[in-house]
Amino acid sequence: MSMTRWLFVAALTAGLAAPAPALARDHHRHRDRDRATGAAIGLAIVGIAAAASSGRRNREDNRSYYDRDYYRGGWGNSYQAAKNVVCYRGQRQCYRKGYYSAEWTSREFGYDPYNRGY
Amino acid sequence: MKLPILTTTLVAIAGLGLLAGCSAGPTPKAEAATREPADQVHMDLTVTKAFNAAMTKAGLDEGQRNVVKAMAHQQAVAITCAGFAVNKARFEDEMNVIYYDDKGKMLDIDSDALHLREKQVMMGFGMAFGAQLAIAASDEKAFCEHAEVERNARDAKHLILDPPSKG
Repeated sequence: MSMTRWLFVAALTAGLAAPAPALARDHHRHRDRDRATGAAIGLAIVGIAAAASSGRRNREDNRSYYDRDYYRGGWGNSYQAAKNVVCYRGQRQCYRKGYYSAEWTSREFGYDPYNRGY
Repeated sequence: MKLPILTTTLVAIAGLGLLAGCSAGPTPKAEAATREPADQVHMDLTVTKAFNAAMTKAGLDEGQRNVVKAMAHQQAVAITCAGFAVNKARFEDEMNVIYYDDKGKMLDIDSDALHLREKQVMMGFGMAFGAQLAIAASDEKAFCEHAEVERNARDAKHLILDPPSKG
């Protein structure tokens, strides 16, 4: 979302959610304004969520294999499969004493390409 | 009357605490390695992520990707570690997996598509091979000791390293 649209949504939200002027004592006007405020806040939240989603989708589309941020850690859930063996569920890889283990990767995330029904 | 109620409440709270403590405790298998991964693991995971993305785009499934990576790893072992050699026939046989689809049938594609697939796989192989060489260079002794364990694994799949020569 562009900065202008962010500012617009922020201003709209802030303006409608601001305290009522002292003169607005009429009960119905209060209620109408409360409804309008609620609706505006709801719309703003939906708009912000949609913009965030759109931005995320654009980043996914534009991402190459070599985007720096894509590869910064965050390897997720890991567990100790055996002594000195750590496996990473996200990447489905296992390491023994810090080195890639084809044996344990195959054992923990078993997928035999030669046993696919032929 | 107040005392039994107080006692019961305390017992209930203690019980809940005990229950929470038990359920939050890690099981042996699920015990997470909470430490940051070692540098060489981080390196390998990073390359593997790029490798998987590229190879998935090339149409390789998980099993095929793992075979290619295992081949690259063992080729790096053979270059780095004394006393290790790759069995060429087994290597070629394992690499043939890239010519099959995920149902196990030979790919029905024209020669251009076949060449493209081979080029893509070679790129992936190069990525994994280069990463393993770099990782090995950081500590050759430890890398080769690990390779020795892998070579001797009784149930290892996709093993293309020749057994150790006797004597």
